[in-house]
Amino acid sequence: MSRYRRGGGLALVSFIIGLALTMVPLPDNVELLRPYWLAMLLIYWCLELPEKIGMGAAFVAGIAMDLATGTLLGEHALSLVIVAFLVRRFRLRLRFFPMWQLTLVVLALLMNDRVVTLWINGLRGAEAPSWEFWIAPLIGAFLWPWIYLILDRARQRSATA
Amino acid sequence: MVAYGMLAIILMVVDHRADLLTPVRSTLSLAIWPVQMAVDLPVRAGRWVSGQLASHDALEQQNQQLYDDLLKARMNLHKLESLVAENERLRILLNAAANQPGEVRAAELINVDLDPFRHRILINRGSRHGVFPGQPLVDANGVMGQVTLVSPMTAEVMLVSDPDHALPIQFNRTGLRSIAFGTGRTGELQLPHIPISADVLGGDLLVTSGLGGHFPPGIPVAVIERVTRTPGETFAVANATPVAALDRSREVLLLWPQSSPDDSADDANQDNPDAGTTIGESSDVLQQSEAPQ
Repeated sequence: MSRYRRGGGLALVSFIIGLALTMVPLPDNVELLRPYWLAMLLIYWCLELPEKIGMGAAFVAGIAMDLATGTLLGEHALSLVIVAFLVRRFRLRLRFFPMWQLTLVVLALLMNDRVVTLWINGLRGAEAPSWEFWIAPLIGAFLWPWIYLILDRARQRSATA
Repeated sequence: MVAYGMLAIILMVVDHRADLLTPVRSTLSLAIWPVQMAVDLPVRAGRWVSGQLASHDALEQQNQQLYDDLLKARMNLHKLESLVAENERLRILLNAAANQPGEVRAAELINVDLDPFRHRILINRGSRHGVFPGQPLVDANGVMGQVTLVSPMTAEVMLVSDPDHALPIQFNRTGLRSIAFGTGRTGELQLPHIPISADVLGGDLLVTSGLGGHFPPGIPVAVIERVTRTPGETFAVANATPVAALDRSREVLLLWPQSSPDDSADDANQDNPDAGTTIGESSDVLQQSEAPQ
């Protein structure tokens, strides 16, 4: 159980829950507003547990999401690898950011991911998405502090259990 | 990062251009299946609970309504059967090939959301149930789409509204054949190649023409909304609304195609032990469902 206490097990559970949240059916008009759960979880775990959760985990999570949502194999893998790369590169600075600054960083990362998704979909020939496409990162950034707190609390509880 | 990035890009290109990754995808999807079932479960449970809590009056009313609808449907079915028989006689007279009925099996949508940029849905039948890629899917009102990717326990279906979907159709009134393309908008199909002088009116019903071999002929597809005729253009463009409830249907039907006349019956009975229904024998099924009462 020491592995769980070090957070690896909790990370896996959080990714599975994130995958489930990605698949929960939403009404058609709010479907594009769904935040990018796996990216936000990845940002958290790359910041907190860099030795375990790196670009390999990002790639696997991306493939899992591609399988679950029926997109091209590698589409979400690429976007999550980009997110993981950026977080790891700036991790030493990001670790000491206050929460509001971290939220802005998350917003920037999610927006960047939206641009990448737009580019990939454009290459595939899909039509340009509606304005809700650009709102999803805002919702994700809004939820970020809560996700951070919940995961921190869960880690503390599993560490002292 | 570069290694993973390149790997992801290579996977995407291969998946987009070739079918090489399809078996990989099918097998790996089995790992995702438990999560999909877990997400589907609450919706299904909620429906079951609301079904349990429905008032006796409401259930009785619904029962009576269904009985009346069934009666009307059976009347229409008798009419239809005599038409089918007449059609067969005429075909024999014209030395045309006889129409072999295919097989029908029910399936249900799994309540998970797939990528919002594609019009795909997930059904709870897979290769273990005999589902194959390219298989047509219909609901009670008309054509819904085609199976694209088959996993052991589930299958992904491309809806007719997907921008990549093209369906050979025939105008029910005039017999004109054309192709209906998905537009990416749920309620809209487009027919961009209608001869400008063709007799096409708003309200015309489109049915499958059976060309291409994927869909059996004669299944309702859509109703024409409007026809745009631009003077000087060679073709008119028509927009149609699909008759199937693409975003609402829960119960759907998978169609197996007619096989060659000698072995259709044997194959059907061997491959599908839990008996599907043959389209031509629907009256028997109705009688069977009445018997337990």
